[in-house]
Amino acid sequence: MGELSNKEQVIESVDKEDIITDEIRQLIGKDLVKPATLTIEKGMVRRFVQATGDSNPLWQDEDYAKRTKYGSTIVPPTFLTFTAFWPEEIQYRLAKLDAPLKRIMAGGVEYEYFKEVKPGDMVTATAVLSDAYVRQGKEGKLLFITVEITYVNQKGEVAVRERNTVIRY
Amino acid sequence: MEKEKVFYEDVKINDKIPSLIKQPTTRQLVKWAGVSGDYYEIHYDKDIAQKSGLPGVVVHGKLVVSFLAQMITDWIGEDGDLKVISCGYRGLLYPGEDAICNGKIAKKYVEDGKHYAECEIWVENSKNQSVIKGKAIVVLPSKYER
Repeated sequence: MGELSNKEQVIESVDKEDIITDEIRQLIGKDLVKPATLTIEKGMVRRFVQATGDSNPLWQDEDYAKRTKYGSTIVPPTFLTFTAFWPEEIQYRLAKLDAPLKRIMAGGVEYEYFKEVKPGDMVTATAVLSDAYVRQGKEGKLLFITVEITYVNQKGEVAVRERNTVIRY
Repeated sequence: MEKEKVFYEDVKINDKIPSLIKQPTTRQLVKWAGVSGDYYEIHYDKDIAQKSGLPGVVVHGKLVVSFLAQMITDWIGEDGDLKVISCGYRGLLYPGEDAICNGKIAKKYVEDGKHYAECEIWVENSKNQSVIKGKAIVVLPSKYER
């Protein structure tokens, strides 16, 4: 077994679907972390819109919101975000995945909205690794990992679904 | 703030959504880290950002998505419903750069009695470099609803 065969072995493992390791394959559909619950408070929403600079009265002005179909203020579209429920756990869990492509970057996010969320709601979030696939990039293979977070309110209704894509390259 | 309602019947394919320009500062990035819980150092620690190969701290992708979401909710007002926002990160944005948010109507259809408009949305910096490309799906009120 010379140097050449070692190189061949390395190229082989990157070319094939070994990029999606057994560890990743077995995680698909499974919870990545324990569910987390947050009670939404007006103060959180106030600080959130101060951060984004969004002065839409629907998020903050009760007198205004009272006259809308919602009846009271609702949270803005990106208010529910997985890092607000798990500040570090998901990143650590993903970083621990031993896969050949070591560098990591955020790929994107998708939100689907089903029910409005309001201050006073108690939201429970669960996170699963929902998908993993390989694509050919300009400079090599890319491993896309999607984490799907489901936000359920106190009535047991799915309020929001968030899909975060992380890319290892 | 009396705004005209956006009705399904009034939007046409290729109509532009009113543009929104945001100018994120490093202070805003710190505020966003605080409210979002995303404390990744490349967004506020210049040394770590540079050690990761970046020229400086970068704006959180999700903060830029928040700007796009604001563009949509500003446009549809209280009578419209945002159903989906989907964004792919295409390039980095740095504090001090403009986040120029744009969108246009790509499709419209009625399904299950609801009036949908699908929009192509995107963010560029002032050098016309792509930061985010994505889509949004909204439900709009119809002029003919009771």
